[in-house]
Amino acid sequence: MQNSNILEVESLAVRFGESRARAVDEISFGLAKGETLGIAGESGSGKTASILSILGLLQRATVKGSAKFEGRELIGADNKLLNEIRGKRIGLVLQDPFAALDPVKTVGHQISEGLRASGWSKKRAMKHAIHLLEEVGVPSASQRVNAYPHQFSGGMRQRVVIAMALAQDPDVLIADEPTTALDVRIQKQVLDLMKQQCENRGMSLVIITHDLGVISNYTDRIIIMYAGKIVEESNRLKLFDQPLHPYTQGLLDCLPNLGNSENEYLKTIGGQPPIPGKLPSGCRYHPRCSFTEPVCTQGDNPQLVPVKWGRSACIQLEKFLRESQ
Amino acid sequence: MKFLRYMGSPLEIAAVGFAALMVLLAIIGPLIAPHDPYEVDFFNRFLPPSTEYFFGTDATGRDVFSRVLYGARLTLASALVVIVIVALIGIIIGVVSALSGGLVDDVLMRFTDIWLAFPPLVLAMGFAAAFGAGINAAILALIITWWPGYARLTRALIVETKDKDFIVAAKAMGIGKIRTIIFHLIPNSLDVLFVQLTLDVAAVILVISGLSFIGVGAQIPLAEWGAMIADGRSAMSRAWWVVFFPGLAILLTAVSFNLVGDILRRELDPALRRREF
Repeated sequence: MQNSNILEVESLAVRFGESRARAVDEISFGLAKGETLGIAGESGSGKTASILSILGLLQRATVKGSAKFEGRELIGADNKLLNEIRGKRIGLVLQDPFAALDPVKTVGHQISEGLRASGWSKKRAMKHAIHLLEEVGVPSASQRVNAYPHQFSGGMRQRVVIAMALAQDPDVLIADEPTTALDVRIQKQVLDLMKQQCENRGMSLVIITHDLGVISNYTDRIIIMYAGKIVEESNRLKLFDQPLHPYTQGLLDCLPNLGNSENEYLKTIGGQPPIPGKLPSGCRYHPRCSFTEPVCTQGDNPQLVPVKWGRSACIQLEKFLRESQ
Repeated sequence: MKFLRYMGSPLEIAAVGFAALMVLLAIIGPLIAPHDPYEVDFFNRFLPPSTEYFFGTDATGRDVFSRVLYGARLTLASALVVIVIVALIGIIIGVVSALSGGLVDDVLMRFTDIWLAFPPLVLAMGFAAAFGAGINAAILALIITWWPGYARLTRALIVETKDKDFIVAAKAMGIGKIRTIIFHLIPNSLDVLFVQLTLDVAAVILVISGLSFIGVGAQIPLAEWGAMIADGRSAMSRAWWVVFFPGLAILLTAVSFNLVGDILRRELDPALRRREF
């Protein structure tokens, strides 16, 4: 299985600036060809940092560990290798479609730019850009291709950004919070679009989100991150029935429940996520966890170990499973 | 005529028209000048404007109209040389400084600060003393004192732009560094730079004329607007036209280039542009 993965991340760690704290702390995961993977967690849990570090896009950060794309090491790789991977093999959809488009260039220019850089003629690249815009559902694409980003609505911009990421026909599409800036109806359209594109192209899809509801319908496998660590890895069929970590349970409890919502407040997880650099000893989640035992507060952060259908970093897993039934 | 549609008020059309006319006159002026601008004719001193001498004649009987036409070429060409060179030096240093960061950035910016400390007027006078006064000394002094502004401006613009998401997005698409600089970083700074450039064309014209007026720029027989005003100012009470027409040329050229800057700013920013596709 190890070798069949198109992307293999091993002990990836990210530090920002001079700080000694790790925004991402030794995470490992694999991505198979054609697979859909969701990475979920609160803001600041290291989801975006881990993805950007793989592509060498983080400024002023120290990245350690390993991320291999088809066996080629990306961490510490030179720009020449990275530019062969970026866009061409791994397409990235950035968080904010309002900021991810250059305001002074037409969307056609931006979609086709990667192709132009790899030697396509202007005419051919523009034709392809129109085709891509049609594919992502932008109406009257042949005119809109010459429009500027400010002339698009939020949902349309997100489609343009996706078209940009798809332009060079990558093998992996990574979408960072692709639906955060959009309203619910458009969210579904955009997610359906990405899922469908991945199926059509046999592309792997990674969706990063803080919204478990979003990924549950679109990704096979789900990774939950907390304070720079992976705390659980599960699949969408099991995650909601039986989480493997109290934090996941906490996240699920926060989802609005339409069934019996009368006079009921939304639940939250008490407390705040720890600040990098001021991490608690033992399990990083223990100050907020309702299953905490003295053993949780001591020693190093627990390892992620394979259990049942996934992986979990809870050392009280048996107690948790018993009591949460 | 697509271009005219983008124009706004009649004032803006007039400004663009005048700026274009000045550029045209600078190119073809000598062909249409009715007289030799340096031909002295003591029998025709201080003639008022007439059909023979449109702008009158000066203290030595030279045709003011022809001299203004020749002056357009000299003044605009000098301003253009200064602006092109300072913009190139400034933009290159600014981009390198902003993108390198660290020590390179510090060294380049402190180097820039040193040159920023020279006032153009004083340096030009120093040059005039050292190498002899002349238009070349004035141009050199202007270049030396003017580029630091562009270096600082460009650096600030690039620093502001380089961490924006769309630059990361371009990088994530595998776009190389040079391409990113040319297609994203500089175009996003161009609106501000262009406005500064057109404003500076006007400012440089004023300073060159000013330097010539105080005698450290173009020297008196030379048909340069500032020098012409200096030449005619002693006779201003009886022959107003000798100073009036070169002065008017300076004023209108400076104002029209300023307005062109405004129009360019609007046209270079897609969100401010009037037309819709």
